[in-house]
Amino acid sequence: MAHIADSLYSGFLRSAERFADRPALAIDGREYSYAEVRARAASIAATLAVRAPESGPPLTAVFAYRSVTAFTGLLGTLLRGHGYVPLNHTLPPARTALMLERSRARAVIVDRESAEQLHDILRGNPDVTLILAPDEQDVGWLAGQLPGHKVLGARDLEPGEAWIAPPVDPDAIAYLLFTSGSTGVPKGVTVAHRNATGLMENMVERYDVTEDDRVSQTHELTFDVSVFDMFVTWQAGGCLCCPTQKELVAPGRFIRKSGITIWFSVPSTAIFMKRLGLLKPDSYPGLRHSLFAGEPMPIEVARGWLAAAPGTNIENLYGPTEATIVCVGYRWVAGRSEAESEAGVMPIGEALPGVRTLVVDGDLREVEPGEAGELLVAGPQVTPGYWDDPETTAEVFIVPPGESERFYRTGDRVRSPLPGHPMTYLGRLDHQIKVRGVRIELGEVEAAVREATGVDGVVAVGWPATTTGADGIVAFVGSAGVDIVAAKATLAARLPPTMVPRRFVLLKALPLGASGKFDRKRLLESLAEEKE
Amino acid sequence: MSEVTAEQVRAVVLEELSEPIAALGLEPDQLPDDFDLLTTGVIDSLGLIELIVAVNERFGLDIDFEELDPESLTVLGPFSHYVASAAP
Repeated sequence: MAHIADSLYSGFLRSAERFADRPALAIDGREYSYAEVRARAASIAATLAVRAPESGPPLTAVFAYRSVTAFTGLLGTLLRGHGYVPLNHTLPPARTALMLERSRARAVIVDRESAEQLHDILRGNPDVTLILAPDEQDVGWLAGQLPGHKVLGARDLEPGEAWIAPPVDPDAIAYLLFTSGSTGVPKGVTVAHRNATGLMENMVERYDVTEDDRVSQTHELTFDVSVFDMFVTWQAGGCLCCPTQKELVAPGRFIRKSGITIWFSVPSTAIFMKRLGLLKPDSYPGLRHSLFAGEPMPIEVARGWLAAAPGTNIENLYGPTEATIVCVGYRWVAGRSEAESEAGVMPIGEALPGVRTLVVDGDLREVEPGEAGELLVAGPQVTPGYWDDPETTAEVFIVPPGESERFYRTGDRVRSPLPGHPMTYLGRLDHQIKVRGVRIELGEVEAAVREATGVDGVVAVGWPATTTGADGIVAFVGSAGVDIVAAKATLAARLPPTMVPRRFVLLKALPLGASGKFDRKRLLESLAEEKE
Repeated sequence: MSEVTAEQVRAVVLEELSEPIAALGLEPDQLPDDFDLLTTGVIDSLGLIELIVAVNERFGLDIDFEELDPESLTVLGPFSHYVASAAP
């Protein structure tokens, strides 16, 4: 098998040559060597090439959850020369169906557990023709449920030994991820190979990752930090350790049992570990690096983590999917970091190699050091834009006045650093919030609530507020007669659990602010007053 | 020191999770002891940790979470019995 430089998977293939017998993946009590993972992925790639239609966009969906199929399926998709579209069976099937339909992918790679949802997800889908369940011996039951689709199982796989990955255009899509969209439908972010390859190399160097490292894989594949987990590890020849859904519930036990040396999670996981008393002194002596991204990292949690893992480096990384995983980072320095923090959370630090940041005012003019403004990001990690949505792409991927480079408008408020100081994160400019690290557009929640209730006046707010975002969502509905139970059931079938409002407040009319828009601030204050 | 019974724990769990359970169209009283809160989608892994925090706080307990077997931890009956047995 030959490999082509500068694609997301090149590093994996190099490691598969050098470290064939070393473990590439540990999952569900088993380890898979590089040779084995490569063989499985190559076989999937060959099967896709022979059996999947050539028409349609060069994308293949991977509908698998914390299974060996998920990882070999995604690698096989890349080795086929396609970009992968990760889908997650713990999300409502209606939402998964929408993502799949929007991607227009022709083939879906599936594992056993997720396959049971396929019947619902494929209903009305005009594009998908091939279903590949590479780890299922018997696919008769699935074929029976999916008339009109070609269903292939383990016995139908083509041999992979002779498979040669086709040359990949660095501008080709490596993966397509859907994030919450303010207009009511998920937004697809396309990421090209060239956006990610440099970052992977920089990160292997930054953390001195080697074949002896065992790296956690806590992030869902639908969340782009998982790309870091996988491809930084595989580039270095290390072992990716993926906890099962159940193991994820006991993260401390997982770290010790799996011999994790590099941990990466959303801060929420660390916050809960601290609350549960899992950050006892010296609990995790094997950790070399502990990385956090996705939401603000409270400094008290960083301190607790450092006590539990005295040998670790702690970093807070920042980055939107549109600028490829992480683009700004901050390394904790005892004694100094407390002073550099703002509002109790770690700074986000400085631009990673190759990244250019700009902090601007409403007219896109750079603000003075020490002032707050919107963070813009430029450099090789800035992605081509949104899938099938040139309008939104043109709105947020821009060339500011006086600049020649293309920048992504993050919508995040930061403080422009004074010389010698790190950048600090201040919050969002719009109505996007984070609930346990998951990015949520309140506009999307509001659109869904409007549809579920038939009421136009709807405001969603993050509540209760936490140092990292919010614990959940409260929806205010401007109507006295709404069947809340029915509305919740409708929403639960459409939205991920974190996006379903925990509580509905019915008001005859929603208060208006000076601009004539609904007064969010007053609604939030009403919740705060309740608590007192 | 008042005793904590498995029934009390179960009632608190169902109360804490009444909304997601209702959203799935399930009746809290009808749930069997082997009902798995995680795999049925009532809560995710972080939600379960939240639940443990809530149960600890409601009963004034400080249960060593590390001792729990992840396999049974997410199942209604074993969870309730474990909390009750771990309570002083």
